[in-house]
Amino acid sequence: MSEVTLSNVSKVYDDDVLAVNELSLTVSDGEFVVVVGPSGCGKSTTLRMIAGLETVTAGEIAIGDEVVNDVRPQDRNIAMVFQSYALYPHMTVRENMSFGLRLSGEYDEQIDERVEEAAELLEISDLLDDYPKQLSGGQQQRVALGRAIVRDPEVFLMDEPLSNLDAKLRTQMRTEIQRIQEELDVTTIYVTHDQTEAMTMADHIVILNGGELQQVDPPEQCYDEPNNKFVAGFIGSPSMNFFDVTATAIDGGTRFESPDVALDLGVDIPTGDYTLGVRPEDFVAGRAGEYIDTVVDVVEPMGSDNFLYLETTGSSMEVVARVDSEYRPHRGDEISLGFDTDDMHLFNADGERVAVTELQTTESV
Amino acid sequence: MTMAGHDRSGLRKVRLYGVLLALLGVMMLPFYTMFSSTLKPENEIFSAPATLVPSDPTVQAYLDVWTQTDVLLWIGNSFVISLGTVALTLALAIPAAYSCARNDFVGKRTFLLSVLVVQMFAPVVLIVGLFDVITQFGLFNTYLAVIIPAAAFTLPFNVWMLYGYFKTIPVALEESARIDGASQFQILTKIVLPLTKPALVASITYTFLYAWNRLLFVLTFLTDSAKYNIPRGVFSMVGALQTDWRMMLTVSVIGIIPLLILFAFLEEYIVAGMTAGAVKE
Repeated sequence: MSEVTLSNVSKVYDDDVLAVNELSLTVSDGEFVVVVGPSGCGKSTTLRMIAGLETVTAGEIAIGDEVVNDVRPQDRNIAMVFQSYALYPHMTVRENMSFGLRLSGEYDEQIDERVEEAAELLEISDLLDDYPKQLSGGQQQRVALGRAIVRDPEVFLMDEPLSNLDAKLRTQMRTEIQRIQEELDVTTIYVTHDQTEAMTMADHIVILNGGELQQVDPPEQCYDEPNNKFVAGFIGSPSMNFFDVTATAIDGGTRFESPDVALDLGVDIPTGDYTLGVRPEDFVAGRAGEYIDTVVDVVEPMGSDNFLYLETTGSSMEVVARVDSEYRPHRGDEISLGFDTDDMHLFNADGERVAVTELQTTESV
Repeated sequence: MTMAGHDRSGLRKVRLYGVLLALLGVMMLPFYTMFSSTLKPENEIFSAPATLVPSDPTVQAYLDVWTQTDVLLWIGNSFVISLGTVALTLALAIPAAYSCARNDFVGKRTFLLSVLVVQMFAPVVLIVGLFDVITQFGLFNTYLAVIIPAAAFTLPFNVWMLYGYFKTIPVALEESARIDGASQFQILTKIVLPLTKPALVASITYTFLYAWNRLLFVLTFLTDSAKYNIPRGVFSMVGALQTDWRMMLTVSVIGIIPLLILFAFLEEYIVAGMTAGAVKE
């Protein structure tokens, strides 16, 4: 177990592509951190730099007290689970799991004991003599985890380990990985583009975009208080709805106005352009006299609730609302959407969060 | 499908098999003639009209070859030359192909193309220059005088085939092995080469066959009859005044047997190696 520290780490590839830009991050001992972001945001590059599979262009990576920039992957005491599992096809499950231990010169009895212990933990004891091609995707995934576990590393690195599994198996393995991580208490850095995995598994979420760090916080904080417009849009499904509004001073407060929404709040903030964000689940639909007038385009019943895809009458903008499953309007119906101003998010022209929670609402229009 | 449809596809199959059998017949006829001639009495080989089936089959030719020629020595020498060529070729082709498949370096494309250009020269064009090199290095009348040029001529094909195959092996496997603690050499020997088995077997077979049938290099660089291989042994039976065709054909048949055995054992791998990388899996 060890703390992992990244200090101003940058990665520039040979073709001058900046993959990671001055990333600083501390992953505490035993913590489960999920690095999340869209494709090309630098999350896998970051993980590969920690693993030693990519060189670091600038900055320092430390595992425990040791700076590991120039330490070979095999000497970093880490274990990695790859997206493709990377099981050795010509070796049995047992041989796959014991490969690393054999290379490090462990005794046969010790190797067998550790392999069997890990196999038991992962419930793959009866697969030890099978070859990877004989296993299902879920079983291969377990073997890949087993191979990482037997090495008893200081840090687990996982690169989108569940992305090749079907939805049901993914949910199952998600809880399995959490259970194992808690049981072993090993510092874990887990990369994914799936925000559900990030929200459900992480102690802390690290959100990257374009190689830049956007936010590091517990999942609920990323959801409730996103640092910026990107995080607000990325975390939460369906994504947050954004309205470009103009703030003007009025008597006793500020008016936020756009073709779709008009809102008077008793706050004193600089006038100018802002983005107002409302999560689909924070909309209240169907009550008369709400803020936003819309027309129903598509209704998606999800079982537990319905997703409404609506078009605003002001600027024909698409808005998504998540409503109770019993509320089921039809295409073409006119609906007024409302929201509690405590639930709205406000971002300045640079996309940075403006703390709305500190404001006092005086009036809703 | 209707009955008429069944009939049509059945007829098409019959026609197809007919054409294939005819082609097979054309290809096999020389081999059959060679083999059947070894079982004929000497006067029947050139009898007109030629007989397809020996009228009075005899294995006398095989007994004669056994007692009157050095066929075992020639086979032994063929093995030494072929195995030596295979070993030298693989020792050079594996690192060359692997480094090209896994690394980007300045001039890689030029290197790979120039390797291919070497294959375009016929050995006979280079034989005078090669003779000079072989004698300068004191290799004349040694097995290496045949092994080194044979390896040089099989290298381009092998480098390209292994290069293509190495590229199909996922890099993640090697990265995983690196994290597991494997050195670069261990990654090559414990992960990459076992997975390259089909291509390696195809490579070994191609090189072995090429070296087994070499006549020009042996004819030019080996004058010591104790080092003759099978083709050179056959060639030694061509006399200025008289050629013993029956014995020549018999030695040729015996010379093919080790290759047939080799091919029968490795066929599955050879086909897999030849088609490797042809389709995305």
